[in-house]
Amino acid sequence: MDRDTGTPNPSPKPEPPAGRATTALREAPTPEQTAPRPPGTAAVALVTDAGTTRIADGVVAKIAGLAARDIPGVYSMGTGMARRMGQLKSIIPGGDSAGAAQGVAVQVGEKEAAIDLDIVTWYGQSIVDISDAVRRNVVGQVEGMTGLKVVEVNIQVDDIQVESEQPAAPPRVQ
Amino acid sequence: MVRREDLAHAAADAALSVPGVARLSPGPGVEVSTQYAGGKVLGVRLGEERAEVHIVADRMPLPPVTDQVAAAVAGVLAAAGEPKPVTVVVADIEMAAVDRRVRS
Repeated sequence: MDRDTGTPNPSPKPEPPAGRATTALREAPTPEQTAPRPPGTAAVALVTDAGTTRIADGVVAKIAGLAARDIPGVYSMGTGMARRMGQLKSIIPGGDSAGAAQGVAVQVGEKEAAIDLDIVTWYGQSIVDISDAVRRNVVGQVEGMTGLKVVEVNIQVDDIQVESEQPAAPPRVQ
Repeated sequence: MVRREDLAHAAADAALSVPGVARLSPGPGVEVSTQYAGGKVLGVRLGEERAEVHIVADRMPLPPVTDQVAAAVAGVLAAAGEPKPVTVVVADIEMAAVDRRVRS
């Protein structure tokens, strides 16, 4: 990567490989932001001389769940039982209807996080493409928002949704 | 850093700007697309090692069209600092173009 200043180079710098923290998600790239960060360091120092920042598992799980759901190929999240329970909970008044963390399991350390996702994809779409997009987005969002380094995102495809299938089967008895 | 969706859109625009490309196609089978948060670009698959563009052509003969598409998309990827080989797939052709060719 040449960074000489003599030649005008309007093109932004190469994207760092997946797994690096990305902070400039919604901003125009600037040299400071695009400079590759040494591996193993996240955007924000969570452990400093002046104190330590801890981030709860639930926070990371919520961010990861929302980031995964942003990908169009993700139909739903969670194992079969979790999805059914989620449907029930959303019916009950006052129940926890958000369930952003459904289908997400995380392990958060002081500086690093590992994320396991259970997803349901659409029939007719490449699972490889979807999981690649999910992994990118989850790593980017979690690292950008929390400063944790995401060391791995394991994706389990739990089911596939066929377009013609109804999400909830109509009752057999009216 | 170039965002993935921007790169995919730029690659799609580059392919569409080539005369003879009617539109991009997600293909008849497994959808060809680049997915990102909140949307996807159909007809472009940005892989780690190669890029794929699926076009619908409306001009015969095909080789000049596909060559230009490959060059245009490769140029976009190289400019973004992610040079990789480009596969151009002619997913379909507009029948009007073929008819014109046959009649003229």
